[in-house]
Amino acid sequence: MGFALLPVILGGTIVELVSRPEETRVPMGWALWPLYALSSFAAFYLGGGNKGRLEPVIFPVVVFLTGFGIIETYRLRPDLAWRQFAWAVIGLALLVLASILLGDYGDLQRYEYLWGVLSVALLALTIAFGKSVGGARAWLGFGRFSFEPSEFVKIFIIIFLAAYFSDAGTALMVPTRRLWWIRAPELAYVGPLILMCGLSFSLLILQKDLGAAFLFFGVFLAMLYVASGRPSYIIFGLLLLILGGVVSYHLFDHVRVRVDMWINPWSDVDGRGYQIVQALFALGSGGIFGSGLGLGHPSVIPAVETDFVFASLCEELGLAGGAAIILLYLVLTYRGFKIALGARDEFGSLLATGLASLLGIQALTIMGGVLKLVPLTGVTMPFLSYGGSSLISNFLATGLLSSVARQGRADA
Amino acid sequence: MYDTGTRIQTRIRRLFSVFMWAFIGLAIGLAYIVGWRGDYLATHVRNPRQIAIEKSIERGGIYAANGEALAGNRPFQKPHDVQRPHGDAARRDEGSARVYFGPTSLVHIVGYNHDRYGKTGVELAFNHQLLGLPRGFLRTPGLIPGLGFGSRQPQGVKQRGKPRGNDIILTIDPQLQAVAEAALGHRNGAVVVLDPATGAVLASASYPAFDANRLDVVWPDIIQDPSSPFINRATSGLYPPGSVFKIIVASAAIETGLIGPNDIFVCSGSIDVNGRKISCPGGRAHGRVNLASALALSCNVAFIQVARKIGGKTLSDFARRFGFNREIPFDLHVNESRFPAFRGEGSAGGSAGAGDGARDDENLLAEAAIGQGTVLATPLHMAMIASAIANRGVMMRPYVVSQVRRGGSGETLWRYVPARLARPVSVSTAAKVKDLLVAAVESGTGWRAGLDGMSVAGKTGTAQNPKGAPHAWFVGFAPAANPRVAISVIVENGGAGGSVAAPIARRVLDFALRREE
Ligand SMILES: [Zn+2]
Repeated sequence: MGFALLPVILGGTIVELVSRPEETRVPMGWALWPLYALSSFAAFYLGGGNKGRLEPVIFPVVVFLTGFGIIETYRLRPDLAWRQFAWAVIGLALLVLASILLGDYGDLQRYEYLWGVLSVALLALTIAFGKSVGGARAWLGFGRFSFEPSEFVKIFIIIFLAAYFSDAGTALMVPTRRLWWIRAPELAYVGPLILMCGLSFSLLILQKDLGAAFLFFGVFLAMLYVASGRPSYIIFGLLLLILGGVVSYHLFDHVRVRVDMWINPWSDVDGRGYQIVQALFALGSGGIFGSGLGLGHPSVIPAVETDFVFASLCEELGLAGGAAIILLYLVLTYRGFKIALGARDEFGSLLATGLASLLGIQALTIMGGVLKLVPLTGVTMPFLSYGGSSLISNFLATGLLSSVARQGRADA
Repeated sequence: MYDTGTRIQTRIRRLFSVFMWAFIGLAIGLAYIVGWRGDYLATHVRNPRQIAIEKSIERGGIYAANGEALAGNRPFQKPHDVQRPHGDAARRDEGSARVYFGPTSLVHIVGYNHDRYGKTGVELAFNHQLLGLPRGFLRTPGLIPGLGFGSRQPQGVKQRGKPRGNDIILTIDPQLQAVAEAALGHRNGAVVVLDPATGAVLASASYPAFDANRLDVVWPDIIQDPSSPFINRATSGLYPPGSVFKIIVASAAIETGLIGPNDIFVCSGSIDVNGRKISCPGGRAHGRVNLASALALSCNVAFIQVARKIGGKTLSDFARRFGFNREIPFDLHVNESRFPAFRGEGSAGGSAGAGDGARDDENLLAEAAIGQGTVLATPLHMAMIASAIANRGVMMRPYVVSQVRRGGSGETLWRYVPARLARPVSVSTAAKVKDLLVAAVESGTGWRAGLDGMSVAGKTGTAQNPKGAPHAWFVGFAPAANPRVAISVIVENGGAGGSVAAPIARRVLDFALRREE
């Protein structure tokens, strides 16, 4: 814990010291770091971290990443730093609450269809009453407060799928009848497949949220593979994904722009390619050890505090810092799958698989997008990006993982 | 068989390995971008960090040899109501513009530094010094795609208070520069004055020039001007040297010992080269001449005979020794002077019945002997050739930046040490060629460059070219006994070197040598 917090306090202090006097200062900015450290320790003890009730690797990594997220917010958008801090505290509280209240994650399994219905309802509400932010109609607002339902739907869907697949059980793995010349997929898998395709495509078409659509489908495929053990389903799913991609490239302008700017952002440096080119400049300018926190110029990248926080990090901490962040996400994913391996039942395994895949795919797609390795999609960096909904949803995912881990060990 | 038999644990492990490889791929991608593409991206012209970093530094000044300021920063009052627009910090214009002093013609040496139009001259070549940054930082895009190490941003840029860059001291003598500029007047061409002993550029004027302080106003005109005011004719203008090239032919003749002082050539006013008639200036028949009188009278017929005796290969070798077909190291870019390549052994004697190759070589050699055809040289290079003769056969590396000083304290950070570039001829050959050049001014075509009470060595040139009237050249040095300045003058399409270029040289030499008296 101390190891996770020390760099946060140090980094925050550095940003505080190097920021120019004429830059917008935020009242009591220096107090962010001790308060964050205090909150983290409180969460650690209240959540029973000292009694081994919290996952010993995931929790510190998450505390570290979240702390760095606050530093980056403070550095890039000082006006939003306290708000991000507040979200982090709420996230930590939820983590503790989940740890105390959720005695047995198995309870979640009982309300299997509730999660499915809730997900569909939330998305339907968003599509009906949502407001557009940056081209994506992904936000639900209540007065001054607004949130992104798809961030929570991710978790609900994972619970639903884990419950559904584990209920279907081994019976579904028995080869069944042939349909013409291919082995027909069992109906048990066809149902969720249709549901997920429907969800993903409605997200894509109605909300114009390419990143979320890809994320949902990716997590679904990962869980389907672990549940069914049928590579043919995955191949079929991937074919569907490619087909969907090709079709939406031709049908939707926003998808075409993303793909074209991925292939050659230099064709429109000042327009649609501006963001990705500026991100590449930031990466190249950072070099191996970076400019140092607060000394680079990441603020020239649009949306740097949310989707492009990785570019900012690489500019100021260099290749070394970027590689360390990649390593941390790998560790997070690894621990997630390790929990899946040690879970007490199939539901736990599938739940942990889904959650680990969720964190992994999010980190991979946004970092890959910033590095121009894959087309850019509007996905946030788990824990690092500015944004309350995403932060809280990722804390929930961590809480659930912790819960699966704890009971796996207890029963072993 | 189907994969139904695998345990769920195996599948979870397999799934994780997919993730692991994806993360490894991501890290490799990051390393590729930072390591291999980093230099390109960091120094890309569209990278706003370049401008942001430059704006955050008080750019150093550029000074003449006597300490006179040639370039400095315009005082700029920062408005108090600066609202930092989010995401736009680097693109905001801080407004600090450069001011240039001294003669207008210095624009080609000092250059300019403009937000929109970029950088040229010393402002470009010594940009990192003027900013006080390590050389590697502001590299030209894509030049060195090597593995970049460390940050490409200077540390401490955001310190409170602006850090200062370094000052650059030039070898330029601003008064001499003004005289050279005035002597050239509004004639397209160039004047270069060197210190033959060190290679220091004392003056370098090129016309047309433009006012670097009014770039915004004059830009639309100068980019359309057919006479190309952007080009520094002193370093980039490639002209046929004409008879000035005879300095090299004479040097080769003396150094190889193939022509003695008493060898006589007969000039009937023209000579036949494979059916082509090459004449002496004005078609005049010079009669019986030796090397000295041939040079003084600029007799083409005699020099073609001299070149035939030397042979194309040897002449080509000497041209190379004097710096033709070679990169000239200088603080600013210099175009490479050109001398033609001969196909075979030089045509020593003009054997009848030779093939096309030999015939071509003969034509080339005849033209090269009088500095015509495909022989091309820059005015700076011609001044270096004069310097080499003046400096006892040693050609010095030319330079214009003599010192780099720390801004503020004035502490010298770097000082140029004069360096030998080449030794094209021996001391005795240089002395003999010098005597020929003194004679050429005293009693030959270069008499208009002569100064009272001081002997000047030099050679005129009247270079035929496809663009109309011949280019007028004068190349020389003074005082002959103890040369202090070497000069090269060209006036594009100016006519005869003796009547057009020599008087310009006289005026500049006169000022350079008599000012102190
Ligand atoms: Zn003649």
